[in-house]
Amino acid sequence: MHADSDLIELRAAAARLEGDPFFMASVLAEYRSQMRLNDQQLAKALSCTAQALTNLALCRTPRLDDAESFLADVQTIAKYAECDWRELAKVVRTVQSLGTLKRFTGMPESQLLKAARDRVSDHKNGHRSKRGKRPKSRKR
Amino acid sequence: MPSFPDRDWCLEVHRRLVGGDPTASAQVYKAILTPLVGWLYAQDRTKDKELIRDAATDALVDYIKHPHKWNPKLGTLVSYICMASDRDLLNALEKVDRRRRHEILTSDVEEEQLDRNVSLKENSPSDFLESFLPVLDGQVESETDKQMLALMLQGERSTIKFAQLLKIQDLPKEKKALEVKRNKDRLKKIIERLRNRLHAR
Repeated sequence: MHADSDLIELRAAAARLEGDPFFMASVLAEYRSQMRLNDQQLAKALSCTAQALTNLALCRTPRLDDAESFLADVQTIAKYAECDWRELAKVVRTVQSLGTLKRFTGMPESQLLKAARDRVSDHKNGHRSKRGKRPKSRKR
Repeated sequence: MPSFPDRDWCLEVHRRLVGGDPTASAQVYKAILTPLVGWLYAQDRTKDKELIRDAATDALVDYIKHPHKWNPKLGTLVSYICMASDRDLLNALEKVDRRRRHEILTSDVEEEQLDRNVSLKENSPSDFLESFLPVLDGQVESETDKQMLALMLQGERSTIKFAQLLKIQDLPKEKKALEVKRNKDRLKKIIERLRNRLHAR
């Protein structure tokens, strides 16, 4: 059992690693920022406690070389941090996809996400736009 | 104070880290970070918590990313990480000290505005000091001047200390102050000239 001071120390260490893609801290920070979530909301999305997020953040990012290694890593991490591995896989894949899209398009991730959200809401609202054209009613 | 994990635990987590277990890094952190921070405090090199935490984190990250750097035959993992973090802390403290000395030097020279027509280009503190200090040392021949420069770099402002160096402590107060100022100005001019020459390169 860790004392409170240990937890504070570990949380501070996890925050320091947010800029390092080697660690899950960077994935969680990116997802939290893009989806505009706080720790409680992120923990809820992953079906774990806020404390488990620190354990998660200190893990290595799953290998993305092949689907098998990815799945094995995600399941190992999820078991260790006691969170839902399917949700964790989604989080990692979302952050990875946004990173890839950003590299290819040069578009800021916030705009990519906005575009993705708009497309989802268009489908829900039954809008059908021609390829390459935006509906007239659409707000910019 | 929390204790470090034992040798067997370290060997086991090392094996997992090398084997690609994605949770091994978290286990290393959880077991070693807090005792390492405590150990660094106990070394009494600084009271700056941020510097200590940074040094501990840097050493752990380096080990986690390059576990093969540790040779188990040469010593325990704990001693390896302690030494690495202590070295990181000393480097960080040296960097802080160099920055501080540079700030003192710059403010001293710029305060005086020896030549208002000369525009000073901005250099990073480390670039500046790396190129500047060895050349400066070579520019000053007299031992007294060297000692005066050392005092100036330490941020010393007391006229008495400079007067003792110049062996004029027995002069009347005003004369003493004037003589110290004259010598300091002379050295500041050397610094300024040298700085301009380095910037012009």
